[in-house]
This record gives sequence, structure tokens and C-alpha cells, in this order.
Amino acid sequence: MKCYDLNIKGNSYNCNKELILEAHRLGWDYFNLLFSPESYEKAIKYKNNLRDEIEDIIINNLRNKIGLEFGIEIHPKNQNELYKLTKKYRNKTKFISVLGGDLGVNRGVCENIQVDVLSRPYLNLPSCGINHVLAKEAVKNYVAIELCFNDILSSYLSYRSKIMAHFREIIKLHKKFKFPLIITSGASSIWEIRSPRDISAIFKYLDLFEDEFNNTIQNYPQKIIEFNNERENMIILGVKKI
Amino acid sequence: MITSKNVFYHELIGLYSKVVKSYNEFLVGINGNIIDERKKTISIETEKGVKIIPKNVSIFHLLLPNGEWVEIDGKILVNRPEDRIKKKYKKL
Repeated sequence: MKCYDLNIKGNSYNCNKELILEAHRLGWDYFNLLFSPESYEKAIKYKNNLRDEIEDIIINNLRNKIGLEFGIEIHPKNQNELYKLTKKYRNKTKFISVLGGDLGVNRGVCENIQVDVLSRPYLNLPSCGINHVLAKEAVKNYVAIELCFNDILSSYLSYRSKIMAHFREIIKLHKKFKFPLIITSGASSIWEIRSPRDISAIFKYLDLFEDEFNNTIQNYPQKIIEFNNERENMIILGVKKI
Repeated sequence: MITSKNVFYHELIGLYSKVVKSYNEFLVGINGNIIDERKKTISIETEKGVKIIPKNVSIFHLLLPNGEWVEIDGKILVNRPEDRIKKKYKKL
């Protein structure tokens, strides 16, 4: 099984290299480093070097080759800003993730086909940030909802239990409406990375069974990546140049 | 002029087309010029006669006059040609 991690926080060159090597050791195969729009342009320059250097190091490993992609994470304050930023950056990058945490922004993202992932919709909210209306919109526009494992790791006591309750609620909605759900590490240092099996063990406790978990770390991310690779040739959804 | 950017708004009669995918396996492979279009079907003139293909279960490859090939999901075409021009589509 190929494991995709679509949210690793991008940093300096050496830090990124360490992160990817550690994640690869723990069993991940595809890495998506997310940068802020300002630092993305600097980072994209060393992408090929980074990939070559990592492949040189792990060349003796018998597992599949690694995949590496850089993306942009946007933090819009309202819906208008969201539309502006997605329009601005859609052609510059293959992957756009939007940080949720506001009901208006969550709705705007779910209705926007140009966005790939709604990251952490429950952030700073009393509820999980997703309801049946947003779930249906997410299915229609193929926007994935992201659950970040780092939120459980870095929180404690009642905050942690609340986040886990939000996860459980989102998983319940996912089972009913079948919107794409992805689970990511959200790691910014090597100490925050966990193996897919560790994460699977936690999410089993949150009612996500094994086949559903496999979908969240393999099938849905794979579909998002394939769709983004073909996005250049697509004119609208369902029409593409051959 | 028909291009890949406006083909889903445009009149399809006269274009060479091929059914590449369909829920009905017997429709796959049918090719020829489109000679008529209705709300839910397309008529294709083949060597064995005129075949009527339902739009909403098929995926077509269309050859445009500029030599470009376009793959188009029939679900997008489900509408009368004169009504399709009014429809709004989300940009990717």
C-alpha cells in the first residue's frame, strides 16, 4: 500500500530533507510540503534538487520511489479573500489547501471547485465546522476535508477530547455523505511524524475502519493528485483536450 | 469557430465523434459524423446506418475542425443545443 501525506509543513531546505527522510523511514511514500504563498516561490526553486538528493540517499531502499510535491496553504479571513487568493494561485501551483475555522470560509471552500483541500474545518469552532449542507457541496465539487493528526498530538486534556469529538462527528458525516476525507500528519518537525499504523490505531478508536482508513491515506489523495495533474488539459469538469 | 474552449456551448452536428465509454458496452466503439442532436440523444451516421446514442451514459471523443481531439462527458451535453448556450459552467 502506498501512503500519502498531503500536509507536511514546509520549512528550510535541510529541515524539509530531514522531515521527508524520517517520514519515509516510518512508511510514508508521497509527501506534499505546504508553504505560505510568500515562501512558496523561494521553495519551488529547490524542489528538483531536493528530490534528487533524497532519491540518492534512499536508492538502496526496495520500496517504491517517493513522490514529492509542493503546495500552497491559504489562510483567508473571509469568502471574498478566498476567491481572490484561489484565482491568483490556481495556475501557479498544483495543490491548494485552505485553512478552515470560520463557517463562511468553510462554506466558500466547499463550493469552490478550484480548491483541493479544506484543512482543519473545526479550528477554533465549538462544532466540527461541517454539516450536511457542506458535506453535499464537498461531494459535488470534490473538495477533500482534512483531519490533521498533529491537532491530537499537540493538544491536551479537554481540548484534546473536544478535537477527538469533532473528528468523530466528521467521520460520521463522511460515512453518510461519502465526501473525500484525508488524514495527514501536519508535521513541522521530525518529532511530530507518526507511522501510518500508529495513526490507523487512533482512528480505529474514532470509528474509522481499516478499509475506510486506507481510502483516506491512499485512494482519495491519489485521486486528488491525478485530477490536479490533468487540470491543465481540462476546460470544465467533464471536458478535456486529448 | 468551434474550439476546445467552446465546444460544449456549440452545435455538434457535422463533427466526427467516437463513443469511448458507456454504461452500455454495445455502444462503445461507434464512430461517425453527428447528423442530429436532441435533448438526450445524439444520432451518429455509421457504416451500418444511423445509430442513436444516449448522452447521459456515454463519453465521446470529438474531432474539431482545427484537428484537435476533445473528450467530453455526455452528461454535460444533456440539454437542447439552443438551451446549452445559456448554461453556466464552473471554471476549473
